[in-house]
Amino acid sequence: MAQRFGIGVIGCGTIAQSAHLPAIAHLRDRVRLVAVADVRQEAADHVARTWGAGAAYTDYHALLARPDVDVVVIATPEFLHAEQVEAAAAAGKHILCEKPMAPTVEEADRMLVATRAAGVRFMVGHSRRFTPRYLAVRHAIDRGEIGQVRLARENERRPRAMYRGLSLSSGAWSPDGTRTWMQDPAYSLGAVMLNAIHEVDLLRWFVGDEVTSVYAESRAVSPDSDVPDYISIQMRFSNGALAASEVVTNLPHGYPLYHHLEIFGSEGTIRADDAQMNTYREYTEAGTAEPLNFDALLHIGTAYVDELANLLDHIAHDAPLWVPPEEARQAVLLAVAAAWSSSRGQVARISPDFYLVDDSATGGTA
Amino acid sequence: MSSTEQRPPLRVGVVGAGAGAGQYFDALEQRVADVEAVPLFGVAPDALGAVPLDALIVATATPERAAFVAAAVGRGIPTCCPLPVTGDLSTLDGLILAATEAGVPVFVPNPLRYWSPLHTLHARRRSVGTYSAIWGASRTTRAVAGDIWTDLALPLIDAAWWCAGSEIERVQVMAERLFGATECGDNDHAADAAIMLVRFASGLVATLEVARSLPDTHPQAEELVFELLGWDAILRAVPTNQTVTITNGSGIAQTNWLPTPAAAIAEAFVSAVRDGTPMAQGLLDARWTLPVLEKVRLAAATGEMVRVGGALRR
Repeated sequence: MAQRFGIGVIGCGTIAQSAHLPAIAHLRDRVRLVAVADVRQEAADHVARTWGAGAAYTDYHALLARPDVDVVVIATPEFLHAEQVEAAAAAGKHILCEKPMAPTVEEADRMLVATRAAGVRFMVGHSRRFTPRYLAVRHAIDRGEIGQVRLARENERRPRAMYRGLSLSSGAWSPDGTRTWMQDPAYSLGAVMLNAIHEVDLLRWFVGDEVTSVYAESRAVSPDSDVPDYISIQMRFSNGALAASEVVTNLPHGYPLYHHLEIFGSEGTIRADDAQMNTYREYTEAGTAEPLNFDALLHIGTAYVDELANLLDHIAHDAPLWVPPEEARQAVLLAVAAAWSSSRGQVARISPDFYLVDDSATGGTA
Repeated sequence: MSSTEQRPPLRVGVVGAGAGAGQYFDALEQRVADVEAVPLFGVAPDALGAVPLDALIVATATPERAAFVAAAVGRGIPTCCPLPVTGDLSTLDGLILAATEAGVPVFVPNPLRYWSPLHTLHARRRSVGTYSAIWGASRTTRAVAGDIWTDLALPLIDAAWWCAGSEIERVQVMAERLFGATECGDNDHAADAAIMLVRFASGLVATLEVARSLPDTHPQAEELVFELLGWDAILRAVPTNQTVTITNGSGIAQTNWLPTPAAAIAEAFVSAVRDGTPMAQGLLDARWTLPVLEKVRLAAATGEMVRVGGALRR
């Protein structure tokens, strides 16, 4: 009989409730939810009651101390990831850490070292790589259907209503009680880590090569946010290919192309977008609206389930990880490079050993 | 009898032998009243005087345009030459000087500004509230001649500036020869694709993408998308859904039912010539685009961000 893993969830906010806990429930033949943890007692209690966890902690170390927890899902803000992954690895737990892996490359490297040293299985949740349409794109590229990828673009435009909805319904953590951690520059780099890290990861995955330079422009438009809610990123790859991504999180509701991917190859073109995804539309005097379909946007029914299943297969059968943590580290590097570039108005150069090269007067690496 | 019927037809020459010239000729023939359209296929610039003309539309390939504008100005013929007239600033300055001294009006419209979806987007731009961003792409396949900088990038940058309502502050461009273009016009970098990030003084950012020589398998030979992302609304100009599709026993026929840029430009030009009103976009209005394009190409060549502000002179 296949092993049924005990699982613990650290962080009971938006992504845990909307994606990871449903995925755990979906895979209940393979996992059982043992415990959850959140610094907010009420959030932990609510999730434990709702999803059937036997214990709710405000200190995640208590969850890690349980011998019946084999796997932890870390679904906290990224500034906590390195510390929590190191602690989980030291406790001998296998780990699924929500993206972004970390806010800095140095922290990402610490996580790689810690998990390798502990011999635990470690995966970062780049869920887009499990999304059916992106998988289809990758497979088409692998089959050579468009030749060599030369120019690629992935735009993501999110309505601000999504974030308001997240704050109200799922209780994203707020450091000061007035705005979420995602809007506070002390805790977040904004759109680049929140969303664009998905896009740079996908583009690198599709091009199949390493990035040599990054340039980005960003701005904060929302009056209640001090972090950029818009970023536009250019990337040049070592094989000469170019890629671009624009991420906006402050838009009005109704735009149908939340994700818009175009890949131009030497022999053909691939397009994939959300235009046909929302099957419910409203036509009123105010115009056409496509009410938010959060489950569909996040592909919860497929991507997060397949993501967790891949980690379980990796633990149980040594199946290959679809997103090795080293790949997630590269995505962090690209996101950091984009943030660095947009804050300085300079092109970020990336060296062959995959570090951001700061060739300004101060020298050194960022 | 109306006043227009009392006037003799305006003789408007159309120089050029390509599809663009054909569109202008058709527009003059079918959409503009009291005009005699005069096709000038294979006519050299110095032979313009052989045909009496009241006005001239230059619809040749970009490298040939400046010579026709110069010849027309020299003969005192009001001229319409869609952007870009030339990619060379000194040539453009020479034309400006000649046209000014001769008092000959020269209309240099950006065809994108006369493309109905973008024209509508511009007219409604204030409805979007605070702008987040502009996104635009102009792409062609190998079947379409042209240079990515003068023929694709320059009109797109002008359109972005037109909608942004703010001066360009800086640009960064990544350009490469990605699709194996062998004829790249005056493109000294031989690039056939570029991604441009343009930051305006207002803080608005435009992401503009141009590509030519896409594989002929691409669904459209010429493709244009332009979006204005705002706080209150998103405006999107796309080349689809502008057609009347007729399906019958003979197959499927599609007809563009919105005025083409050529039709709108021809109407505006003839109206200005007839009434003696100023051209909406003259040579001087077009001049600012070339220093900006130089900065764009500099950014592409060096791979560095380039500040533009000082390059502008209106």
